Amino acid sequence: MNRLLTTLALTMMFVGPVLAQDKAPGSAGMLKTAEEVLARYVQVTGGKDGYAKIKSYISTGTMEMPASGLKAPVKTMGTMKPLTMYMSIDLGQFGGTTEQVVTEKATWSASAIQGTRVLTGSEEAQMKRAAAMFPELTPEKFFKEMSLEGVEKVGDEDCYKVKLTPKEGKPEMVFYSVKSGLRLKNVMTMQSPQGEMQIESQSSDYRDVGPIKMPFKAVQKFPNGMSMSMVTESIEVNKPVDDAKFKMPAAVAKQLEK
Amino acid sequence: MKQLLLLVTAMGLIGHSSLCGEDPAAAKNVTALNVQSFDKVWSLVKERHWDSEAVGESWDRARDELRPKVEAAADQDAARKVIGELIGRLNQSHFAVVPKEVYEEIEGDDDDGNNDKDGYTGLVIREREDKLIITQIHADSPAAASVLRPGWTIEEVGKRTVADFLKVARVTTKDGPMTRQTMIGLLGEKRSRGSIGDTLKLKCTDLEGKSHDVELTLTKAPGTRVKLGNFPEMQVAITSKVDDNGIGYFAFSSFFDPQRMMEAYDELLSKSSTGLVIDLRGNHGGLVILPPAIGSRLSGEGGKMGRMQMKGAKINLLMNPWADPYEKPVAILIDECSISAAEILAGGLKDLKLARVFGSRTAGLVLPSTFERLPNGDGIQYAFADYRSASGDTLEGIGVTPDEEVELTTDAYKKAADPVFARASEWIQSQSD
Repeated sequence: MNRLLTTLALTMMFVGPVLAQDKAPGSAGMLKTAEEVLARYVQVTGGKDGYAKIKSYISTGTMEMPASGLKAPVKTMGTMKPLTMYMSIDLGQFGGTTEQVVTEKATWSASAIQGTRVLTGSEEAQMKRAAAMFPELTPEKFFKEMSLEGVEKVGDEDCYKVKLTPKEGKPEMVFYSVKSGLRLKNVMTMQSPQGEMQIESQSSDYRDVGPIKMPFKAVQKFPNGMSMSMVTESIEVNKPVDDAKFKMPAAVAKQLEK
Repeated sequence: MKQLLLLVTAMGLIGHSSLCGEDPAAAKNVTALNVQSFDKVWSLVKERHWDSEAVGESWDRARDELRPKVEAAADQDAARKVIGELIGRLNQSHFAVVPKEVYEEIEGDDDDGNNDKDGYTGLVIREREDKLIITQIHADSPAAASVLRPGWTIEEVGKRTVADFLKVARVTTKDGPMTRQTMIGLLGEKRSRGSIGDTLKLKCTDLEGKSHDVELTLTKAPGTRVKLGNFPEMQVAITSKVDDNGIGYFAFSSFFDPQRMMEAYDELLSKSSTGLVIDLRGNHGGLVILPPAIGSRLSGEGGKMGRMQMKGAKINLLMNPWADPYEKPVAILIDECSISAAEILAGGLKDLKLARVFGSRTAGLVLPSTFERLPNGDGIQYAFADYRSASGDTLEGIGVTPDEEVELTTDAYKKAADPVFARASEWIQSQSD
């Protein structure tokens, strides 16, 4: 019995690399470079022409942390030119509303409980990549290096594993489906003065939003085993955004002066 | 929950396993449950402990060595000792086996089956030199309406004598991280609470040495019931007031009602023209986001209050710079029942020199921990993160030492009903002169 298991294990070990070889980047039908993978993502989610039509967006959704029982409404809005983003999370009794804002002049977070903080360095860069929503469209703006690392499964699906090294901050690994071209997962190191934390985020439920496709569900997993989900309920594009949301608070201006 | 478990343990309610003498089939089942419990404890610690070295090869070896002992354990009590030995190998606080009898006692805590513990006396009891002292009496409480006054010593609480308290505290704190004074403070809280309408008989001695027999009828404790997500519902009382000297006073029973707490705090800061006292005595902690939020209002520069080390992440407790910080003197009051987040706030503001700390050393129970039930009915308490102060020191097992120790002697109570507050108030006024 033991011998049979050993033989089976050896067979599996042998078969593994052969199967992987069939799906290796550059083999027949497979993409060869990170640039190609990113370009395909842009293509399958609407193409450059589709993205060019997006001027602004407003979305609503719900964030949920099952471990703590936290459920909070989230509202996001922004413009593509200039690059802006406003996101508010209403934590209710857990701590009121928390806002994160990206403008041309500054990036900040503000909370009734914790106060206001200007974000700089890699933390600001991360926020700007999030504000861009589709960094694949203009990767040269955000990343100094990109490389195709191989093919790995995300769930049952083969994915291109692309290493993206931002101009500021640590590299992130992004996984794009070989079959659909969609971005299914990314693993990144969140950096802020509060510390570093590796977060794995899985995207799903892609739906049409005007001329492009966007994921309506994201689940983030933290190193301590906790998770957080973000379910988007609606996204409207090219509707006017509320300029008042982007007005710099006095506390931010004061911090910038220093 | 944690506090309740410790208290019930402390009151000597833990009995021995009642499994002896059961039939062989039942014993076999008990053994299986004990082994499952051992495996669960080992896995929980392996998966969630922040220090991979502490749960590396030595932790694997501990399992290999001790698992056969659990398999051979004659009863649950013996298995409990082996699991205790397993977690003892970590040599860290906040790891403990909670016998199932403790849970049973909690679940049926009241004789009448009523678990409503909203009733209180308003007494704060602490131990000094083997004596139980009433250190504070809450305003508008049954104790405040009685002849009792701060500084009186207590000879008996209900049927329990001072010797009973001391004995229980001595036994239960022998091997754990909790000090005897902290345990007695918690026992005092436990014994001075109950259901609304219950009565509590006390035998006391006043400041002149005269004996008094007092009976208090418990009334509804102040505060609001707060339920946040999956956390157990908690009663949170917030006191916010300014005295005639312009000194603000801010006290809250736990860090558990962020919005209401911070609204009251912000309003108080705007009114406290001379200085502020934050009273953390008897505060058992709560949400860890709140100490930095409270501290941030005191600094235009911001700062780091400390750091939590969890598995795969180090989280700094960051105080954001406040645009219009409060710049009057701030005093923090602490005692041996200031626990967890209360210690983080006191230690953080002391390190950053944003406040002066008065009172007595805190509990030194800072590691965030949680409880889970095991297949055999026992429970396990385990810490899942380490905490270091801004200066890099651990507070665990050490606590926060006040800048000014205030002794709670009879003489001190003859001069002031609350000697700790009086000293803090005096210091604030001296700063503004």
